[in-house]
Amino acid sequence: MPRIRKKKNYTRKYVLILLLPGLILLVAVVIFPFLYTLWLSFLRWNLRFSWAKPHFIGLENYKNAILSDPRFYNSLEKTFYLMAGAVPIELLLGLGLALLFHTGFPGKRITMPFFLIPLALSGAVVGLIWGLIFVLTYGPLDYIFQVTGIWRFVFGGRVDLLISHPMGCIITADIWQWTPFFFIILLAALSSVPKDLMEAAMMDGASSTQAFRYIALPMLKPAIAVALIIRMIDVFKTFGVPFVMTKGGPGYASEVVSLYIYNEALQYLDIAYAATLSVIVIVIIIVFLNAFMKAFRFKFTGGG
Amino acid sequence: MRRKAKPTYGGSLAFKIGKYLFLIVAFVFFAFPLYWMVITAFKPEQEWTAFPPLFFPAPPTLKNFYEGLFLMHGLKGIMDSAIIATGNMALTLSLGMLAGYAFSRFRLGENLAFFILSQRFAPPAAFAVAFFILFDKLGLLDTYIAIILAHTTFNLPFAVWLMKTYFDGVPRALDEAAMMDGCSPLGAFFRVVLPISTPGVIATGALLFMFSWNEFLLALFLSRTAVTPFVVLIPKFYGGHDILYGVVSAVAFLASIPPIVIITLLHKYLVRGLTLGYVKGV
Repeated sequence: MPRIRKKKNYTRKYVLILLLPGLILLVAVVIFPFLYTLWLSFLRWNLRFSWAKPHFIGLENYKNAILSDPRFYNSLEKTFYLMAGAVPIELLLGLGLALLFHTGFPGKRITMPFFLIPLALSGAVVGLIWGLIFVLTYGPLDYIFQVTGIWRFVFGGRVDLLISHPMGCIITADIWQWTPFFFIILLAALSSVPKDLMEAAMMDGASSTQAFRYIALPMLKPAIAVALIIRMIDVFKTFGVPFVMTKGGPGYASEVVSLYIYNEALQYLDIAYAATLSVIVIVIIIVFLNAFMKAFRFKFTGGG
Repeated sequence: MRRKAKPTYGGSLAFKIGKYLFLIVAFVFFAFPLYWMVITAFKPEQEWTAFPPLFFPAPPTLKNFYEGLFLMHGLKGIMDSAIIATGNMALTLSLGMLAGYAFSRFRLGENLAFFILSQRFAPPAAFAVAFFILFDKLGLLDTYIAIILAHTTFNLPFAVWLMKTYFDGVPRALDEAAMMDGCSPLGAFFRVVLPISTPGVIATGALLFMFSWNEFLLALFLSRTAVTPFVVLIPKFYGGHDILYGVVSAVAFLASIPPIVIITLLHKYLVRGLTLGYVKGV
């Protein structure tokens, strides 16, 4: 068997050459920083008190975060609020747009980029754009709401939405930014649904709604599941829009979890506590991901 | 037989009206905020805070661009972003290409694949704190290298995966033929597979550039005064009492042009990358 063994070694050597540089970098920038975050979470270390050397306190940070930090629970609540308020609408709106673009209409090619551009913008820019829209007096929304009477009839008077409904503003911006994500994925998935199958069903007397419901939708299910999983996890990373638009305020009314971690780290300089919070968030994401994948009977099988 | 009426989705008039109404409302919702930023960038100063707001700048001015770029360091910000995004793209693309080829051609086990992909799910805040301390210790805080390396956390897995799905589409027979002719596997990769994959490499590179260009949280943690990517400048301009609406819009608009061009040209490639290859088609 010498020949086979030789071939195996030969392959292994090249796999190593190909993979090693990437793996080394990944260990340096992902594994090591993550382990370091874990280590930080067991320390007491606040950079504001530069005389106090970091020292080991075990699980005390975790105890504080879980048992006596209402602001942390507030930030988680706001994050879930954003998830529940934005993601379902993004899915429905994206699905609607994907169906429209799939069936086609005049002007499809020209309008397409406008439904994609928000996805390409930085969260900081999206926050700025919607800040410009929502700002009282100078913004277009205030004027339109005055002219159309929406202030009077819907809100019972003119209010600064960024202060009275900060989460609503963030959810709106989030829908704007991420609907294109569902749109582009579902449009791609729709194009892989065989047209003949739909047409055959309709020849046999199924209505277009039935054809969609019983043929296209089941075939779209995996794409919808993947898009939902990715988006729901991404919600935990939401940072740019609230940071630029509301700064988490007024008070902590729109402080999502990434923003709270940022504030603990760079505003209060409590490095160790910020690390603790991010470890807890990772655990929440993992639990969440597992539950969701079970619910969708979705398995990670390598893809491609 | 082609003559037969093509089944359409919903033929009734009410359905059609509803469809176009939805389309128009959606178009206004998605296009108007962008339009507003662009016209704000061209408005002269007295119109930034005019009431009722003007829905078209009269007369349009380029003063905001001049002030934003040269007086408020917007040009420096955009250049810094370009340096970081280019550096990160070069690093992640070259390493991602090699690893992606390995994943495409050799069976490497699902665990490794999952490990690479799982980085997509880790929140950047978890790394930001560690990077902040580690780069501070290394004296690299507020340097290009720090942000370039930090952006590798999300761009390297993306590069590996996108290149893998791309190489999967290149027939193995090609590498085998090259190896028959005496190429090593690496030679086959560089001389045969890579040249015909040029479009995929360019598309992947552009998307990597875009992600690094747009990234906000890590850039905010790791920059101070020496390195100021444009994303960090935006909240600095947009805050305080006298917001320079036109100036900040001008800088944001200019900085958004590269990603807008990239997504308009390359959205088909983006689907594969966004879903990590789980959704095929297109």
